[in-house]
Amino acid sequence: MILTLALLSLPAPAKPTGPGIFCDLYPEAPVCAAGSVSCVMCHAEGGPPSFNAYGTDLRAALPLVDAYEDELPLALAAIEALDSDGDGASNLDEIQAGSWPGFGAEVETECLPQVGTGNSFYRVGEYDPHFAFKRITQDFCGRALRYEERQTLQSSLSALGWGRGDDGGEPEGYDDARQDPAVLELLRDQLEACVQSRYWQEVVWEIGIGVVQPKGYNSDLYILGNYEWDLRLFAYATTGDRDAADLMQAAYLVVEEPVGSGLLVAIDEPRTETEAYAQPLAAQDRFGLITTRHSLAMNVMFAPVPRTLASHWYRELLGLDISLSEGLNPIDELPGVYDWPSPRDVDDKGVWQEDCASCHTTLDPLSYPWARYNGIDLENGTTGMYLEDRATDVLPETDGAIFGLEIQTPEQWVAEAVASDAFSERVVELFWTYVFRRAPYSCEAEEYDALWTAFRDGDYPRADASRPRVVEEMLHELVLTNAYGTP
Amino acid sequence: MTLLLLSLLACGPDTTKPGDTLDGGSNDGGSSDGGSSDGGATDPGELPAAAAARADLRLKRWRQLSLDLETALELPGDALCLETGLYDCRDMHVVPLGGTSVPNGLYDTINTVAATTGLAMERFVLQACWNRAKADKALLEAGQPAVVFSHLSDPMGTSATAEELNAQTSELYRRLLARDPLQAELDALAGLHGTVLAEGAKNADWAVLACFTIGTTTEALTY
Amino acid sequence: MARLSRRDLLQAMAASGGLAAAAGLGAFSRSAQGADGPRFLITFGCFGGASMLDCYMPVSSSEALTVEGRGTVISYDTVQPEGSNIRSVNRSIPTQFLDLYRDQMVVLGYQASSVNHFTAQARSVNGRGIYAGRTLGEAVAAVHGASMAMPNVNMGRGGYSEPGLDPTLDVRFRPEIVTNPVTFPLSASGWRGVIEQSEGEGLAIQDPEMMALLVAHSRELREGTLEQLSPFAKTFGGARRRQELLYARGESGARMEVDDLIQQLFFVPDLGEVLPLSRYGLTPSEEVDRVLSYLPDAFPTDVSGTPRDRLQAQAALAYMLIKSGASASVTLTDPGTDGFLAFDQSHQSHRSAQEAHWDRVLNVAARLIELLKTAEYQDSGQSLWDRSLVLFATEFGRDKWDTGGSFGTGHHLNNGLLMVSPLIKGNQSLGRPDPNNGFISGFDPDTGEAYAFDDIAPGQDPLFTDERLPPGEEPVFGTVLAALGISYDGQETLPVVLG
Repeated sequence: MILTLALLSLPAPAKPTGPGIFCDLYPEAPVCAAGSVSCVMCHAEGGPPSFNAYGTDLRAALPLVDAYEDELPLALAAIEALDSDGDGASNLDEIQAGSWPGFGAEVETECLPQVGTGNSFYRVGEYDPHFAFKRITQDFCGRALRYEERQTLQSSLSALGWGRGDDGGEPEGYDDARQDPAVLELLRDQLEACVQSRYWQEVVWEIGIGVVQPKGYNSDLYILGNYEWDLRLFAYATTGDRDAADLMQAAYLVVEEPVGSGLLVAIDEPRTETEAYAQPLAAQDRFGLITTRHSLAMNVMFAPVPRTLASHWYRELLGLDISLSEGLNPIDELPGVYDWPSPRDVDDKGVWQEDCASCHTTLDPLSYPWARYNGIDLENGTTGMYLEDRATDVLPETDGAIFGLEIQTPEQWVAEAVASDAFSERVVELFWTYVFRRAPYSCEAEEYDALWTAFRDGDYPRADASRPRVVEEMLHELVLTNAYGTP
Repeated sequence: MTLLLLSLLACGPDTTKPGDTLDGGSNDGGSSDGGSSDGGATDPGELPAAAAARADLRLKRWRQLSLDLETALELPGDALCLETGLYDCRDMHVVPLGGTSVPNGLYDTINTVAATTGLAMERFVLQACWNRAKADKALLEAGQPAVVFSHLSDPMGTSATAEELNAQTSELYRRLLARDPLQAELDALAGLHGTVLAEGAKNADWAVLACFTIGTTTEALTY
Repeated sequence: MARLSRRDLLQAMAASGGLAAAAGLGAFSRSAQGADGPRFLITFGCFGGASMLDCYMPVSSSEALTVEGRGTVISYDTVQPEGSNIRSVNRSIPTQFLDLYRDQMVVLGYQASSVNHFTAQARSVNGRGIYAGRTLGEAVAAVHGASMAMPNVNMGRGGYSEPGLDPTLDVRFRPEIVTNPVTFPLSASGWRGVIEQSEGEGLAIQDPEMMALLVAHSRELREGTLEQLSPFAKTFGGARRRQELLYARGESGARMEVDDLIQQLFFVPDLGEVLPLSRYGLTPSEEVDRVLSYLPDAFPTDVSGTPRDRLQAQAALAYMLIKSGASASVTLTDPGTDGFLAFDQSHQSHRSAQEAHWDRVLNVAARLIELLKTAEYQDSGQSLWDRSLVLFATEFGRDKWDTGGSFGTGHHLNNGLLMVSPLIKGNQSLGRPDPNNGFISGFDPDTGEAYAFDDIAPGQDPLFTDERLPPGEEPVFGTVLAALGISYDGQETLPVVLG
């Protein structure tokens, strides 16, 4: 008796007809584009027999009296208005929108396992060298492979044993194309060629636009600075074999030589009077993007305490937005004076007050080391210059802090900054976001973390590279990730 | 409505013969995504194509769209798309096509699809196809061969052979999608020819529309 | 076989490829979610920090305190017309604006929470994330613009154009960025205006009527057949971006085309060599003359396509978008006389910058309001203005002290802002500028009674914890949405504004 009851209580097994019936009912659903839906519409990520939240509700709605094929459409309709996974969207809304009613919002559809097999064109669910090569060309050369190039690619990869599609086979001893040195060489060569392209130069320039946020006019004679110096520096430091730390540490300037060629060259000093006006700082006082004329004019402006300067680069090069309470490392400059940690409020702006102090205990000490760098001077021509006596009335000393560490000089500020995890993650984030047009998905978090830590340390799991903070080496690793190369 | 249109397509002049294929040249391992069959081999349209779970595509940004059309249609970038003949589409549609605009203080690209993105892409491709058609017409009038639209013996005519249509379709597939068309795709574009000619269009109209149709598939615009 | 009519094919074009198939032209009605139709939000982003002390909450010169070492509280010769509860600087444009719209104006004290431009701009339109991270524009679009082609249009920059952070917001309510209002209408069709008309015998695609049919056939083939057939489509059918693209052109794009927005939104006529519309088969809106009469500098003068006055061009497009039923929320941002600093020129020369830019935004706003008054909402007997609210998002304030000469001012959290609308209880000035420190005070949110900084010594500033300071971003955000008939959990409002 007990055994019989146990048998009767088993769920009706998922029929092979189930996915087709689902798509007959919801033909417009994005997941039904190929006519049949994945098993994980109803089942857990590991597949049948376990159910996800939607499948559980569906099973509960099946009377199991008549034929499954007759009952299923009614049961599907009966649970449309429910929100099985509790993510705020009804089951029907999710089906129509292309998301999964059995999984909460935190599981992106792209992170669901590959369930279907059999694709003669793409190695679905695994790293596909054909797909990756084409993508590298599109992402870094800016164009699709031409017909003849595709033929050549297929021939080359087939000759190596990597035919097209998931039935294309693999050479003996390898079960992943990234284990094959010949494939790695093919991909590497293509990436190396493409990052020399005009397209990629323009892309890097465009990424720099988001960081520099150019304003005003691109003229060397403009009092508020020509932002093109900043964009050139950004492009130079994130291409070739340069250390991206130059974004904050460069004492050199970058020019285009010859003009209009796109070729960037580092120079130690301005070569003409005009260039000297455009970048008036002495080399020992230059710190990359932070101290360009444009940066100082636009971010310091007339303020004695350069809070906007510090917060801008804290956000743009370290990814820490103080206005969103990120990167807060409060320094109590007035211990015991108030019931809360407080900055000194050196310029009497009222920032000692409790609500203000929550951010200003980080922001103010972050700003102090930059106080001698002048912003805009409309009368005496010292815009963008280092002035020993600037703001000495409010800041006789410019000792400050970054990440909770006390520092005295801008040099120490940038040294801590470029060595930080925040810097490496931010630089990788800039390029990842441009290439992928999104933040990493939850299932990519591990790969993403491995990528920026490898960038920080110069220690890459797959790419043949070993120098810390060289963007192009990071890109070689990026194109070998599952996130990049899996169709 | 959809059913009615599909039946119209089927009612077009029968310009294809069963088993018609494009002699696109065979090569090791078969041709690129989809491809022609070669005497008894499986039409790529019949090969399995299971859906990818990851399916993480991205839209081409304006530079990529422009470069691909420049290559495919052999036109320089600044002659590809000019709104009202004056305004470079690469500037005008820069934001919905994933670019920045310093003069407007827009420093970050949009990474989603704007309401006008789809239309901007269509305009871009249509302009490019039309500009290529005009350039080819000028070449023909000068006694030189057309570059892209070279397979229709009578562009201003109202009939074309199956071979011409298939050859032109294949030319466009190779240029715009870097592959050979499936048999079903050849049939579909031939059907479009019948449909538009029944509306009073000419062969050259079909050619531009075919370029537009193929060039604005998601296969052409995403990767 | 019978040819299909244009209407049939347009319907088919609209239906094909859409995920939620349109039911035909009737699906694009302009009726809103609300029972009585949509309401419209127009936001003027006063880029750079517009100080209310320099406009509708001025301190009179006779009252302003002078403190050695600090200067004199910024003050003006002021006027307060009979019957007006609002005081104004004694200058032509602000006083004229007050005369025209007094009974629909509310000036109120406002306390920003950041003196960083971008942050303050963003917070002024997102209420510090109080409504699930949505901006005002997104919230209005989601309620009043659900059936509109581009419910939320943003001609702004900086934080004013920053999208919100609500991941559940439908993508079509996110801001649609406009860089050039004059040529933007060209973005509203995938084919119209692309191919020039023929001189003599040409192709069918050169005839716009024919081209509409031919494009419909092409799209039908593409979406209905090619997008199903290819190995690419089969492999990547469910890809997110692919679905979004199909939706954008199958739904949003189709809607724009059915509504013929490319022609409905053109507020400039054929300008010959500068903008040869007729050569490309485009007919501008019948509103052209009316727009020209109200916003004469909205038109371009040369082949760069740049209008003479970018703010006027933004206002012209704003009017066209609302008039054509395309948008429920439109954001404008003053590009400034210099192209980018606008009110922030106050750093250099406070009075002249505030004067120049307050005059600009009030002038253009008045022109837009008058235009909206000329247009009736459907057959309701109400004008579009009757259903609109103009918000002057002032970003943050400026330092309060005149230090002599052509003095400059930095950023300051304390300020005021201005709303103009028939939907609020007008002729109110809520809060008061204190002549002893320049701070604008808060007010009782129910009665409107202004608080006073009575116990603060002259020349001293109130603490930021002082409860008499004016309201911040959240209640202002809630109030604007309440005026537009929108409510949400946790909404805080200023009832006295709503009446």
